[in-house]
Amino acid sequence: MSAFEIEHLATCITAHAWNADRSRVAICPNNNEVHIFAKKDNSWVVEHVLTEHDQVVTSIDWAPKTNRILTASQDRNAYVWTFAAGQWKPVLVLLRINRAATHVKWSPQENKFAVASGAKLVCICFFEEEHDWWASTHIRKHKSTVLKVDWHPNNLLLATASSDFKVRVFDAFIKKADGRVTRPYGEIPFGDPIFEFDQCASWVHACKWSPSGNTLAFASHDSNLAVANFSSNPPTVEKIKLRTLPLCDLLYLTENSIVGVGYDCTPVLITNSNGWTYQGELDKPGTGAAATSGAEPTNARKLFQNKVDLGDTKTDTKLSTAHQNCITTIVPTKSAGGLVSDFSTSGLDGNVVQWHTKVLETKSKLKVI
Amino acid sequence: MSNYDEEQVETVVGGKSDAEYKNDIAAREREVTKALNGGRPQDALPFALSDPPVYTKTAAIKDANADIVIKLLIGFKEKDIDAAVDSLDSDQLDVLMKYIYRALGTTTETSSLLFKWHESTLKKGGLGAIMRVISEKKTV
Repeated sequence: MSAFEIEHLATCITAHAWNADRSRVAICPNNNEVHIFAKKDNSWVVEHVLTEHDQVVTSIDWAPKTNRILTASQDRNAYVWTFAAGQWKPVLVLLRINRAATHVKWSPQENKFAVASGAKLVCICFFEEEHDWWASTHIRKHKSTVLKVDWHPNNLLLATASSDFKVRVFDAFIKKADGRVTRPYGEIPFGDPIFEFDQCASWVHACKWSPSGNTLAFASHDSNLAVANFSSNPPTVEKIKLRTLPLCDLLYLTENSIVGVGYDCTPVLITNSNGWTYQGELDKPGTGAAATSGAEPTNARKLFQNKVDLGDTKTDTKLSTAHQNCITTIVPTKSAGGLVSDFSTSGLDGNVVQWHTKVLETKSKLKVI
Repeated sequence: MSNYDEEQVETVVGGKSDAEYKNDIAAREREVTKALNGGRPQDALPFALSDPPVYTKTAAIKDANADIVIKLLIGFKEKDIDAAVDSLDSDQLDVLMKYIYRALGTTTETSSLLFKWHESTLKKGGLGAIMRVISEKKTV
């Protein structure tokens, strides 16, 4: 069994999301459309094209329980798409923002969602029955574009990653959507950050809660990964300086194993046993010892080296990795017994790659713990 | 109005006062001169790279410190560089990389030695070290 299956679905993919049974995948081919692919006779074919946005779609999230697609775009709008009578119907969300929407995420209970934006704020959106539309309230307190958001499994806490170098945690309790619930940090006024993490020295690309919500990992453009542990208050933060290029997105395989993807075009493993450590590339025949990637000549460098050494002007720029360009998104596709056994990645090369954790472990001789 | 206000975003606080940094630099200079005179520049490397004046806004202080560190770097013999880089921890490697880039941008005659430093540091610290030189606001 191969460690991955690769599908070239577009020239460039800005976002991808799977439906509940993984029979369909929605991607944005770097324009204002969202293409929904379905598998027919071993090949992926376009089933629907969603064309309500005016500009590039930046993020897609497909709610598994309620089967609703959420899309956000640089045109400052977000839509909630519902499937009825063979058609996907959009409903506009009243975001009230004056810059691009950058990232969207359904809350775990799918009764509300968060939209990050370039307007230095995050919209928390909920359905208003009386008006039959999605309304939003704003979490400000950011000093620059918010790049990613992620919901805590308790459906209340929201982590935001911003290009003002900070990661913040908010209580996104909405009375109309949540009703009466016990809030983890008490009656905190809406929009006030509960915690602010300044471990990053550059813009923060990604933040992700662990499956239990006990830890929060975030990665920034200065090739740092930090993990905040919420078992104490205030949380303790562990910071790892990576040898690699920056990570753009993260995924917890288990409570103690994180897969990071980014500018190195290949998934890397970071695990926690008495401290988080970088283990190495997952899609690379390993020796078992901590791999020493990063200092190897990159393809770009090899190209120039060959030009200097050999007068070689051939431009062979095929990378040895499955992805041929920066990976921007990683999502789980199959989980069993507390372990994400399959996950998929998409990136600027237009490939959607589905990976198998067990095979990767065997191949790289790295251990998911 | 721009959507991105650099002064607002950059909230680098902490560190020491300029006077304290001046004392540090004086101590560093003594140590570096001693090591260079004794012909063992590697002895002063960890000290030279510790606690650089990243928080000050006074360019003269950064310049003074950089002069000393760069003087030490170019005082090395090429064969000693690998071993010296190997003995550093990851924080020191990042600082070293920052000074190598600074040196490559300012000095002209000793570039070959600096490229040797760069190669060695890249091998140990990986591309991440270069990313941190480029992206961090805490410059040396």
